[in-house]
Amino acid sequence: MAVIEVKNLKKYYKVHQKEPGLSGSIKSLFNRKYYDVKAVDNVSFEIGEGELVGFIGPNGAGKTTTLKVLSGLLYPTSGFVQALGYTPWDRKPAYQKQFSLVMGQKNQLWWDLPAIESFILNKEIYEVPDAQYKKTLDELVELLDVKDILKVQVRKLSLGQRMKMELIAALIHSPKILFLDEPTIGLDVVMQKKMRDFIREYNKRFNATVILTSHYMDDVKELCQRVIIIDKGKLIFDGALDEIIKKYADHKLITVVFSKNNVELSDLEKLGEVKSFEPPKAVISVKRASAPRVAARILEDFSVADINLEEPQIEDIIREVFTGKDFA
Amino acid sequence: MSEMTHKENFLTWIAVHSVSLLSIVVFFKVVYSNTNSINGWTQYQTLMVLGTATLMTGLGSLTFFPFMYGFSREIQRGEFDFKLAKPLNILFQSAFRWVDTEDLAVTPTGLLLIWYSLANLKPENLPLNIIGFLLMVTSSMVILFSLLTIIQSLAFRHVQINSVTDFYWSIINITKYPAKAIKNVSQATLYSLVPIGIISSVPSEVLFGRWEPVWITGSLFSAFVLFIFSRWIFMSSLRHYSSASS
Repeated sequence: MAVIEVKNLKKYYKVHQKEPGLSGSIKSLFNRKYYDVKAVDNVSFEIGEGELVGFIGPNGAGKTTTLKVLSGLLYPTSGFVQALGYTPWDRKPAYQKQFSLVMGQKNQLWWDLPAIESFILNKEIYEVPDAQYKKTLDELVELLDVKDILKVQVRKLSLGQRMKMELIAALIHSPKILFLDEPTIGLDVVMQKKMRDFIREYNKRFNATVILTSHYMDDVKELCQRVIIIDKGKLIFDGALDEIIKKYADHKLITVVFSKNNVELSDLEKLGEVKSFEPPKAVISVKRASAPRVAARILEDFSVADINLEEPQIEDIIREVFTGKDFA
Repeated sequence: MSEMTHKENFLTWIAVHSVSLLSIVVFFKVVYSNTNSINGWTQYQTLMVLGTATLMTGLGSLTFFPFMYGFSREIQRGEFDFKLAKPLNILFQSAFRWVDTEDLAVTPTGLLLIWYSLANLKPENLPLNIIGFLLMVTSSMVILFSLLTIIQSLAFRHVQINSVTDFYWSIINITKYPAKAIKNVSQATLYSLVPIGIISSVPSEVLFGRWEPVWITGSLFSAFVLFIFSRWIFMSSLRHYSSASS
């Protein structure tokens, strides 16, 4: 059963356009020009209970806007949205108590006070019973290993520590749906890994539905079985991560290490697109259908120390999708 | 609470406000040393208006005045998103989230001024006057809150509304003076154009016994209607909230 249902969602903005400089500012006082931004344009999808879905796309693709509509922060221009049976922008407390929104670039904690004060405030706002609050807080504190910094002023915490506290504040009421907007942004690789481990564990342990937006493909690769790709407000892919390769990657990569240094670039260019050539190693991109035949020919024509036939990196495929490369 | 963590700033603020209030009292003392009344308002009646205005400013700061300068900044920075996502009444959450504890120190000085004026005026029917005064202060605070709510609703469309909030604050400052004592400005104009300009004068008049019951019922009714209207404006304007990019 779908926990989140989105049909033909549209969110258009009118944006003021100003020419640069003082004269532009004066002109805009009298003759203001606007243009329409289609932040979300006819997007439809469904998400089931306990799913962990990656929502990916370049900057300005409409990912955050979609999350904001799902959280009831924005009214859509048109379309149908239901989450847990509620229309988000009605902002019914019964719905608001069942989801949480974490934005990596913004914080909800009181800056001058220790994070524990914000947790207590959220406990009261979400009407969490004392026993449940204590149990949840203990679990989260243990999972994120933050016992020693609970009473430290938030502004004295490092970015990683603050992000952990943001997560606790967001999860203190045990939400059924979790909207995570760039939760690992700005964190170092070690902290990113810890965050990912936590999100995976939380999803498993509480069967929470999670929508995650991230620019880090490692987040998506490690956490999400399913991805939704959105670009310029339009949904361009919805399916398993592996399916992206099948759908968009019409080529494979052959990595060869030659045993002799007598191979010329021109020889390799006859086989396919040479991605890199640093003798004795070369990487050649070839059409998916002809990959076995080209690999056999390399083994036949050259003296080979090692050969590897592999799928292209998911990051590369997605980058090419966003840059508008024609995969048809 | 967070203001109190910056101890020096907190104490300086209290000192500045106390000196500011004292300077107005001294000003009135100097003026009234040369005349017995200004357009029918005696020294102690004027000081009572100042006391009432100080009390109301203190109560406002303790409750909803911070709404005035924090709200559009929150919208600008996208911090309003978190409030909107929480299961609380969004208007009350926005208006009453901050408490200026600094004004705890100013509010008693307002009460002290009122007590000092009452001791000198010695009005009749004081218990009844006090009840009327409390009702009038309540309706005045509701009117102030409603007007501020309507102003803040503009932030959903225009984000930057400093000029309007500055105007509101300048009107609040007028309440320290007995606006009805100003010559050449008819009461009708004051009531219709800048009703908050007389918002402290009228409760003060009630307290020193110059009032009619219809003032109180009319004021409470107006406050109720204005509150309902302002809430409707706020919730309707919310549809235009576009959040900040992240």
